[in-house]
Order: sequence, then structure tokens, then C-alpha cells
Amino acid sequence: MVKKALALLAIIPILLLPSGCWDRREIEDLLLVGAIIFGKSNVSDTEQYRVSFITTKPSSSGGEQVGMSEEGGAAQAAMQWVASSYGPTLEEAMLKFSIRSPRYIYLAHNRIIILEETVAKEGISEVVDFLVRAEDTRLRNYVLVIKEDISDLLKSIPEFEDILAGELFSILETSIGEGDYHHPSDLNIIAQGILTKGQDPWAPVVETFSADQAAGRDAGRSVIIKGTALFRADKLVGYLDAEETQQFLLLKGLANTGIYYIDSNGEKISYRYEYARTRRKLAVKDGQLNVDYDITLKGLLQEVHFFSNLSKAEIDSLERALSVRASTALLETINRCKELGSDALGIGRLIHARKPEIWKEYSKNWYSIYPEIDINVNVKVQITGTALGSKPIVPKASE
Amino acid sequence: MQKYRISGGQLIGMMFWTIMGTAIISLPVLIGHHAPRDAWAAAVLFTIGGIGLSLIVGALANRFPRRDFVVYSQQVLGTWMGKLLILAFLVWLFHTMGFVLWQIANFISLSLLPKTPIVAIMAILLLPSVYVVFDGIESLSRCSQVIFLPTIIIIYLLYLMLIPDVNLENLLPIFGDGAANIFRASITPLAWAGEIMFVVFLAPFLNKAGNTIKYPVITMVLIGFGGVINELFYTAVFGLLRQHSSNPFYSLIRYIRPTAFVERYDILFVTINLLGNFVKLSVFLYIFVLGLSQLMGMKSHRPLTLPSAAALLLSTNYLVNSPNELVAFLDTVFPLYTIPLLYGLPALVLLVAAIRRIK
Repeated sequence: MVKKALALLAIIPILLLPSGCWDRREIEDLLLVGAIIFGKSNVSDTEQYRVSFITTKPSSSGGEQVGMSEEGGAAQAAMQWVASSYGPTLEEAMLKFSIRSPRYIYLAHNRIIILEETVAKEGISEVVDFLVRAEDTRLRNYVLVIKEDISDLLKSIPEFEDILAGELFSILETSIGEGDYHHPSDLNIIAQGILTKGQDPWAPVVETFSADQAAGRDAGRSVIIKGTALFRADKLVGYLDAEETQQFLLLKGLANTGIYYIDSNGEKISYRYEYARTRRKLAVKDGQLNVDYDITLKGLLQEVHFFSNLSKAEIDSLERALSVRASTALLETINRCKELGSDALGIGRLIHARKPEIWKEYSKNWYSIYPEIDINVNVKVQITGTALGSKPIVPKASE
Repeated sequence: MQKYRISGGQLIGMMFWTIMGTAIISLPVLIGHHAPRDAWAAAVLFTIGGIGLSLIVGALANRFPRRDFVVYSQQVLGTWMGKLLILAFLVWLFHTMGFVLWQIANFISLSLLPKTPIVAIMAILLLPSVYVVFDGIESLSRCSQVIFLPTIIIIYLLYLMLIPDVNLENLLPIFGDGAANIFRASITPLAWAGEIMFVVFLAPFLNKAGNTIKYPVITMVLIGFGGVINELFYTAVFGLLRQHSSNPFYSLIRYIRPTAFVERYDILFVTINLLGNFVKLSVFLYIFVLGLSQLMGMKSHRPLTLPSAAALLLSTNYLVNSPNELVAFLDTVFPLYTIPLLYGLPALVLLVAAIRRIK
């Protein structure tokens, strides 16, 4: 009897436990941040951090209907809430949101981090350190750099997703296999780039553009992701454009698919590689260190606008021409990286990994040695097929 | 009443999480400080040290089958010497148990319940362990057996999902951190491996006496394998960033690429962590109360369970103040007294027993 009574008594505190705790937070009390934008700006003559959030409005996250629009479709309540805050330190700028937002700031579902040029040029290590240290942000947050003023970005309207952060995330995730215009870079890669000697960070660039200008409407702007921002240690030094980015990804071994075109008989031929393999080698010749890139591309001739039976000899000469075209483009990009003084390609890290004894010498003043390193590119383009089942449609006169 | 005997598998299940429970949380941080790229080498040294100790412990258990360590160590070393060393070991056990409890509670406090007082979390964590320990070796071993397999399977599944993010070049150059750094990095792990000597307390409960050596060795091989895989993944995925993570395993799980149907795997880490450390805490507490009761010549360990847990709860608040302090302590001071105690005590008893020809 006593035992039973004791057991019952023991159940009471256990029952009290599930009924509540110190840290109860209902989901509708959370401000679900989707993207954080870091910048710097002058506020009352002192330079301060500007932190902007793109968030999902909690009350509307269920997507409730607020009325019927003229076309009869259900218009949805504004899904997105955008706000900026200023502070001398990041923590203070972050905390200031609490005086405006009636919800708890919740970063665990954040997916995008955007760095403004102002902060990127001065150095991103403080921002990265803050984010790595913050207990709820994830290292899988994609990092983007924005060149222009962010006011356009904050005004831009997502075209497919509920909020802009979701739109950027989807672009990054889906278009990666469609063409080498960009490759996502996340907080882990950026932080490693800041910390590791001989490996600099890089991140894709986000731009806004007005899609409706031609139509004369004052509609919002849309976002695109294109090009790559290169850093030196933690400072932004320059950008690669879309074409250079394709070469950059090939050199990094991150390429999926891309297009090269050449002129043949005054007509453009485009070649789309669907397979790319990048091998890097180090060779020491007469005390001179050479880095050799061996890149193999396999793909199809996608567009041919003239009639030809494409004989073996012709394919061979096309392959040669394409190889030359590709290696020139690749070398140009390598030189561009060298000019900017950013080792985002990780040449130093390659030397460290393969030839540690040489790296011991080089690491002391790597940034002055890096532009002098001989980098050779050896491209092997293979045309596996013509992708043409029939004769191309060519106007009568040209035949 | 028939005394319950544990099987070899249950012993392995108990010892695996006893060592792995907090090793998976704190060792990567300590190793990363000294040898970030060659962390796996420190895990190999950890295994070698642990297997060495396992052989001593196994030999000791085989020499004194079905007899309690506390009793025969007094017989071998002399009553006073034996009592003194056992007492030193129990003080060590109590102190270390405080860290373990604080570490688990601190993790929950930081990541899940930031506003809850840490004492409340510690009390809740201790309750199941107290219950199991009070019940005795049967409950403890069966719990460990049940927990062992699912947790291991989950851990390896999580690693499988990280394979796309592995960058093997992060591991190069091999031995680039230098031998001195690798040895320095493996000192605290070696102290951790010393916990395999708990087998001498559990061996009398084994159903097959006189065949003990293989169980601690198997345990160490399993832990060592897990440790090497862990360290390889931390470095391959995070590179030098692993030095800046206060809980690399948690960061790693949070880094898994979200899929369409499962977006977050954090909860799996919390589950493994809680289950594994429940085993760890229970084994520590059980050996503490068992050792203390045998030292004082009591018939049962039960009366000591609740008071020990209460004392632990009260003193833990004064043992540790901050995670950084704990890491610094584990890195510098902890191995200094732990390695001599955990490796020295069984080795000394075995050596003296061999010289004095006591069986």
C-alpha cells in the first residue's frame, strides 16, 4: 500500500514536467528569418553595421485568403516582411529587431546570407565569426554577394516562391545542374577560405534587374544570380563575369554542364559538355614549380547551322578548335584571378597538400609568389555525338 | 536470490557508450586544437593505448575471476594501500562524473533550453540513471544492450549522408601537423581510453568467468574505428574550421544537406547524445556506488544511490563554470592525474599480484 502511494506520488512531478517549461515557444511566436543581409553604412557620421532580414510573416505562413481579386483568383496576404537595423556591433544590430518585431528572432531556418559590397570590401571575418558562433545558424547557409545598393533587392518581389529568400535558395539549388553560371558557396566554404592559407573564399553574386521596364509598368525588380565574387583572405577584391565563372568552376572541379561555341566557316557551332573531369598536377622542372590542369570534357554538338556530314576528320578538327578555345578561356580566367590577387582556385592549398616541403618556403609570402606561379591548362574536348538526328534546317540560298 | 550475470555483448554495449558518450562531444575539440588535419592519427593512438590497457584489465579479471576488484586489490596491495588507492579512484570518479553531467546538461541548455536553470536539466538527466543504478546491474546492462545497436546504426547513417560533402584534400598533407602535435593531441584521448579499466569492476558479473580479455579489446576496437571515422569526417568536411566549432559533431549533423522529406537531422543527434550519455552516467554512478559500498563493506549498493546522486547534483555546480574552462582543464590538467590513476592502478595490482604470486 505504501509502495503504491509512493509510486503515485512519484508520478505527480513527472506529470508536471510535460505541462510546460521555461523555454516554451510557440511556432507562431517565431520570426522565421529566411535571409540575412549584412552591410555597413554611415549613421550620424559613424560607420555602423546594417543587418537586414527577409522573413516569412508568421501570421500569413498558413497562406490564408484575404479576399478575391478581380480575376477571381485568391490573393494572398503579404508573405514577406523585410526590415533593417543598425548598430555599432553585429549583436546590437541583431538585437534591435526585438524592439520592432513582436516575435522571437529565429535563425535556425535561415538559408541565405547576403554580403553587401561595403562590408565585403572591408572584410567579412567579423560577420562570418558572428554567424559561426551564433548557436542557431547553420553552416549550410548559402552565401551571396551583392554589388549594388540593397534597396532594390529589398523591394524586389519573388516571382515563384513565397519569399525572396526561398526564391534565391531555389535558384541556387535547381539551376546548378542546368549551366555553369554559378555554384553555391556556403558558410563552411567561406569560413574555411578565411582560415586556410592558400585557399581564398568565393561566392556567387546576386543582381536585381527590372523585368517590366519595357512594359512601362513600375513593377518590382527581379533577382538573378550570376558571376562570382573573389576574396583575398576576407576582403572582396573583384568579380568574375558569367563566362569567367564557367571557367572558374571547371578549374575548381565543380562544373556540371556548360557551353563553348566556335566559329567554323563563318557559322557558330555550340558544344555543350555534360561531363567534366579536372585533374591537377604539380611538376617541378629546373627548380620551377608548375601547376598543370588536365581537363577532360565530354559532350555533344548542340547547335550546328550549316550542312555537313561531320566526318571523322571534321570532328577531330572541331575537337582541336574547341580545345584551343577552352584552354584560352581557362587561362584568361586564371590570369584574371592572379590579377585580382585572389587564390580562390586553391593553388596554394594544392602545393601545401602535395608538396609540403615547398609550401614551407612559399607560405611565408604566398600572395607575392602566387602571380608568378606557372599554371598550364591542357584541355581534351571529346565530341561524343552531334545531337543531330537529321539535316539542319538551312535556307535554300546558302547551300 | 540468483545473482544476475551479464553477457559479453552487454558489457561491450555498456563500455562503448561509457567512453564514446562524451568522447564524441569533447575529444574532437581538444584534438582539433593541436592537430586539425591529422586528427585521425590521434584516434589511432587512442585505440592503441586503450587496447594496451584492455590487455592488462583482461589479465587482471582472468586472474581473479568472480571476485571484486575493491576486495582483491586490498588483498594484493595491503589493506591500507589498497583502500587509499580505491578511495583516490572513487574521488576521481565522482569528480569526472560531475564533468560528464555538466557537459550533457550544458549542451541541452545551450541548444534547446537556454532559459531553464542548468540544475533542473541535470536533475532530470540524473533521474533515470539513479533509477537504473538503484535497480542494479541487470537493468543497467539491458538498457545498454537495447540502446547500443540503434544508436550506432543512426550514427553511421548520418555519416553516409555526409559523404557528398567530404573533401579528402582537407586531410593532406598526411602527418603535416608534425609528430609532436599529434602526440600532444592524443594525450587527453588516452586519458579517456583509460575508462576501459571500469571493466575490472564489471567483470565479476560476467556469465563466463576467466575469458574476459576479448570484451574490452573488442570495445576498444569498435570505439577506435568510430573515432577514426569521426575525426576523418570532421576534418574532411570542415577543414580548419573544425578548430572553431565548440561541438563539431552537432555542427556536422546540422550540415547534412536537407532533402525534400527530411530537412533537419538535429533531433537524431540529441537522441543519440541523450541515450549514450544516459548509459555513461549510469555506468559511472553504478561503479561509484558499487565501489563505495564494497570499500565500506556494505552488503548492497542501494542505500548509497540516492545520496550519491544528490551530492553529485549539488557539487557539479561548483566543479565547472564555463565550457572554455572545461576544455582548457581537460586539455592540460585532466590527463596529468587521470592517466597515472586509470592505467597505473590496474597495472600496479597486476604487477604486485604477479610478484607476490597471489591468485
